[in-house]
Amino acid sequence: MSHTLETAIAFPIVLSVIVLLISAGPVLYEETVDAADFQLSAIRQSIQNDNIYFKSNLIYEGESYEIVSTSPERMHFFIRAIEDSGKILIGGVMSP
Amino acid sequence: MSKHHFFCRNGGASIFLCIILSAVVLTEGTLYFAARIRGAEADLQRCMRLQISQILSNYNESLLEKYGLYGIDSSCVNTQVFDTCFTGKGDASLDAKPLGLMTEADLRKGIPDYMQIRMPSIVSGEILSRFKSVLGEITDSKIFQKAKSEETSEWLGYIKDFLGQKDKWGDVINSLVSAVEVVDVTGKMKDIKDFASSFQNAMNRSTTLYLQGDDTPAQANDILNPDNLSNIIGYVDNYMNLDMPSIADDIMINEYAVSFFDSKIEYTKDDAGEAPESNLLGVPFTDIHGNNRADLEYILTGINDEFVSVGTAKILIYDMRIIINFASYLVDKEKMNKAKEIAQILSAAIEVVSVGTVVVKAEILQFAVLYVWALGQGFVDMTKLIEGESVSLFDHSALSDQEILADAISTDYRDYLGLMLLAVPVEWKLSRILTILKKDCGNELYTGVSLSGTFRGSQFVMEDTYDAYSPA
Repeated sequence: MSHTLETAIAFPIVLSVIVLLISAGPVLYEETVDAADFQLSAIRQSIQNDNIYFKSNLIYEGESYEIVSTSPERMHFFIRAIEDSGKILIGGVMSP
Repeated sequence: MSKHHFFCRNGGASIFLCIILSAVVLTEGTLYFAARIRGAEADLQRCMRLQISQILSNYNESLLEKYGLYGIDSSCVNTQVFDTCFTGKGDASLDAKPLGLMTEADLRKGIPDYMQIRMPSIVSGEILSRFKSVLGEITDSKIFQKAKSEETSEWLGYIKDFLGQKDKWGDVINSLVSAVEVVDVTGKMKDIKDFASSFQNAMNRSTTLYLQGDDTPAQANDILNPDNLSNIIGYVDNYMNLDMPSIADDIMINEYAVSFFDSKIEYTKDDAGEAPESNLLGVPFTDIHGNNRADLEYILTGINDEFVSVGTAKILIYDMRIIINFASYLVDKEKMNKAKEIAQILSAAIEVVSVGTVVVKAEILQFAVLYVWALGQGFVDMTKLIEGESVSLFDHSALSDQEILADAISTDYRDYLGLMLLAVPVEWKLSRILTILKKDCGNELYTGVSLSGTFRGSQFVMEDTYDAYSPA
């Protein structure tokens, strides 16, 4: 096999591998940054949410994802309110 | 010769690859490292969020149990969860601090938030307590006696009859809905109707199945159906976040003060006996403080000295009773006639004693007699109120044989303090409430937490407060 032919075959292969390797890094970085931003947006939403159950949409890689945020504090508050309402009504009948 | 060429060529390729690959590896390594750091930063913020949730969950139990409010103190602020969860903690440091010392402005948001969802039951409880005698007649009625005697089939018959009159109930409900629509200033009527409709459908189906003898848990399934559950929770959220006019907030703050703070009364009494004075939830104040305090009188007067504040409250109640009694006597024919008789005797007596030199008309003396009567009755009323008994709002002769009406307008010590509290500016009330909360639950109460972290030279700050105090 002539050197020219060897080079002609090897060069695209080596170049492809190098380009692949070079491109993998930025893609990985971009994906990680997007995922981190997405996660941060979800965290921000959970901090801002003050409903027991709240749905909203976040965009990730051009697609819309439905995010459900919950507030344990409000759920706790609501359950206590039901419990208290029972106590208040019973108190209204039973207390002197 | 060809061997020499061979080596020359291979060496060139190796050097070429070494140079290029080194650059590639360096670039890739930098990017991988940057990606890893970015991933670690996201994980750091996730762990900070977990840490905030853990700190907020560690609320001051005393404050919640006694007064229904959320708050933290500095002792529950830590970084344990973050230290356990975050894998890169060697490069990170986190500082946690309580955020937002509880103020009157926080109470202005938190108290109406607490009271709003409980107001329907508070009002219902108040009505029930005032119409207990009517309630007694209902529970003694035939239909309830049947229910008690476990005659299930007959009891179900009553339910069927009740449900069967839906045409009548339909008219009533339609009238009610029309009336509510007229006064629907909040624009929430549509949500409520949607919720009512879905809930009504689920209940209607379950009731029909139950009456047909199907004992499968259809009702639970219908209500726990994700769509219905989502509607129910959505309705609850809307209800809890409903913006009320500021006057409604002020009234709820007033009601909160009356319902949750101890007064100098130790026992409340009625015909059935006596019970320790309790808060809205039926918890005796002595269980809360261990002693009897005059917090409500302090909120009313702002005077720290218990003796003086209670004395002031008594004088105010006495004054109020005198005014109410005098006004009721003026429209009470029976009492007016009695006063007139006494006035005539007094008028005659004055004329006789002064040998006709002083003449006071009986009509004028009648009002003086009524006033003295009101003073005396006011003192009796005040004494009863201080001892924990109830008195009728109006001391009118027509109420003497109207037991149910008299029960409905009976008043106790707290009712008067609540009425007078309406005249106290809301900022003053909140300031005094805050003083008592700090006395009972610790001087440092916070409404949120702030985390500040550093990771490889970058700074991250995350803050959160209880939803009850967050701006709408």
